[in-house]
Amino acid sequence: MAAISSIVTFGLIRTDATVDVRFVLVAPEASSVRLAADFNQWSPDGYDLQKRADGSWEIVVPLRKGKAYAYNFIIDGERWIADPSSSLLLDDGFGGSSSTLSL
Amino acid sequence: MKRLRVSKYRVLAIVMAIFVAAPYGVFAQPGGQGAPGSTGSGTARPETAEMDGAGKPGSGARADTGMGPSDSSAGMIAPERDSSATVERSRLQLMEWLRSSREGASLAIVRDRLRLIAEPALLAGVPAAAFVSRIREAVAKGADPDIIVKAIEADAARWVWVAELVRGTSWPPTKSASDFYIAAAAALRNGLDETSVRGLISRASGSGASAEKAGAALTTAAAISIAFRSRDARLGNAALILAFSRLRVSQYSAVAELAYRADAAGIGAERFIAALDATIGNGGSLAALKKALFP
Repeated sequence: MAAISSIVTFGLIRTDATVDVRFVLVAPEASSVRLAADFNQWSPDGYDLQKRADGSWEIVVPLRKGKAYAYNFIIDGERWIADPSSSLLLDDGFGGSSSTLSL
Repeated sequence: MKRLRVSKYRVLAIVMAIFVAAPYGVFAQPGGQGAPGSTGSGTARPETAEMDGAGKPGSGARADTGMGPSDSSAGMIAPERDSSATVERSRLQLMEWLRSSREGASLAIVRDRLRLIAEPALLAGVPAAAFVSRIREAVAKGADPDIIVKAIEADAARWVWVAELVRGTSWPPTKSASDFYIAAAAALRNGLDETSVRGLISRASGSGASAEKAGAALTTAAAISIAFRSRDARLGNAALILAFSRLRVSQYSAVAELAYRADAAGIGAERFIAALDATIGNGGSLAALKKALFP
């Protein structure tokens, strides 16, 4: 599989309390990419990233500021990966890792 | 003034009615997400109450207590948090969730083991929602049931330890308790020492500090510990420094990134934590820390 990279950027500050967070994963060979995190109870249903013309995948999620979140990407419905662009990985206790994000 | 007092009591009655009338909404996770996909580039699910295993919509109420105390009541005794009725209700709801949810069904083979792990923890004051969240994560990730049991058992031991530290206080507030417990266990799992976590909890609970900020500080300190591949107890001080600094939570990740950069540059953990303490620990900025590390 081609190299995977990612970008997580903070976008529009909706309110004093929330901010849009854009998750982008570069995975041109993937058929699907989903986002699972503590903020969606680790259920990626409804958190499908959309594929862009350049082969990257993107989703924007409004999240509340002032706390940390743990998340993973799911490639092709079965391969769970931490965010390749983030060095902030924590052992999840289940044999894998999750990325963390503080807002 | 009289009208204001009447309005306040009316709001209080409505809030109490919501908590009383929502037995299945206990495991809703506010999580912080709102209406997604504003740019059209994503299809994130709109914010809804959590569904329990039986498919009933939840209302966001939590079973841990009826009226979660606010941060401002830190240090005060909160009898409702530890009441036996509350704990029993929490236990029954967790057991029902294990019995009826999709996740619980997939773990039928180890359900009794999970129950034996959870019950004493719930009695100790651990929020049931912490179990639900971690089990959901484990099942979603496809972890083996035996591995899940061992992981939850390890989590539960850490959670009980945290519960003992906050016993008799109203901290963390109910709405953020589950997340804090999970963050604390993750920090311990990832190398933070108990003395550091205890120190943070002690100060946070005594001052009514934001549990979310404290949890984020623990997470960041764990990431810093990993950056240096070290279980040096001094690194655990990072959590206390960050939690009570002027930094916003959104800047915490940048501190962890600086730790990785420092390690790559040959700057050791001891020097990093000293710089962190001297700058951010003294009210300084992220820029000051960066300058102290990379003059």
